[in-house]
Amino acid sequence: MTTDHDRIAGYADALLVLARAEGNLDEVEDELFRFSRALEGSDSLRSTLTDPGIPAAKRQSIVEDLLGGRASNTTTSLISFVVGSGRSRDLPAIIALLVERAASEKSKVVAEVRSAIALTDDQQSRLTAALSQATGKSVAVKVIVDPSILGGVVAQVGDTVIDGSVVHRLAQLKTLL
Amino acid sequence: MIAGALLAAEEGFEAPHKFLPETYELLFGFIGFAVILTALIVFAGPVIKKALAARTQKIQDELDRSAAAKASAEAEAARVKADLAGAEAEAAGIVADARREAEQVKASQLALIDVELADLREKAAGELVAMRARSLSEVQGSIALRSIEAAELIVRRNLDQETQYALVERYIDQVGRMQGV
Repeated sequence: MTTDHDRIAGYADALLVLARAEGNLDEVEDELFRFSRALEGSDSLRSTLTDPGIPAAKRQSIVEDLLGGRASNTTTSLISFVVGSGRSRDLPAIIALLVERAASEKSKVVAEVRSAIALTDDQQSRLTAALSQATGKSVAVKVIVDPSILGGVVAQVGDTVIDGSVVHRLAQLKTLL
Repeated sequence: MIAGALLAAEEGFEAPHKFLPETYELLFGFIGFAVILTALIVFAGPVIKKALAARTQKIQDELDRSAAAKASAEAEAARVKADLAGAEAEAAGIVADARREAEQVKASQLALIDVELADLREKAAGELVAMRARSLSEVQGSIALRSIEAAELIVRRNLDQETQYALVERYIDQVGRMQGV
């Protein structure tokens, strides 16, 4: 009997194989990760893509319109495939597992990094090295631009959170006062 | 006699003595008087004597009853006076007891009131301190909130691209200095 976890794992493996076959796994992985976080952060997008009243073709069309020009064709196709299969609700879990397995294949752990501004390649590279040194693990950084943290960076590696955001500093100040 | 003398004078009769009647008149008068007196003594005397004795006895009885009543009344008055004196003493004792008891109750009530007042004062002081602390805490909280809001506003205004970049750089430096997180 196939459980939800098995199904999610099956989709994650399939997407991972397809992305690897296309030869741009890192790029697709990042785009999928960002789309996953965007989906989690947007109630309207999530309800639209999971609405059974909207035909699958229409939902796929929405995804393609949304990502067209902003993500690679591979990423758009993979997301469209999952949405067309009626698994939009599982999309964040599928992508999380995909990212985790991709990192695991490279003997890395995923570091989810939230920054108020986009990081340069150099910053990402130095941050990856810094996080690897701090945690003692080889990390694969996934950056999400999140203006709600006002400034600075928040990194989460497994259960460890290193919060250097302005919003966190303000919260600390509020507690102190 | 005067009338007789006048009548005799008018009729030309001359009496042997101007004032004294004839001797036989005196004799008959005396005898008649003696008879009547004797009759009175014999017949009316005992009756009168008995009536007088009865009246005397009655008066004596009345006097005796009065004396007895007076003695009884005096005894009763003495008893009442004694009772009254006893009652007065008892009343004085009761009043004294009541006064003493009232003083004790008053003293205990005053002591109780003093204790309650001290308790109330202590509670009021405690509440005042707590209220002051609450007010101070509320004011501090309000000031803190306003300060944070102001700080957030200032931070938002001053977070230009350069500052954002510097924050990211500082974060990378800090994480780079961490070990075994």
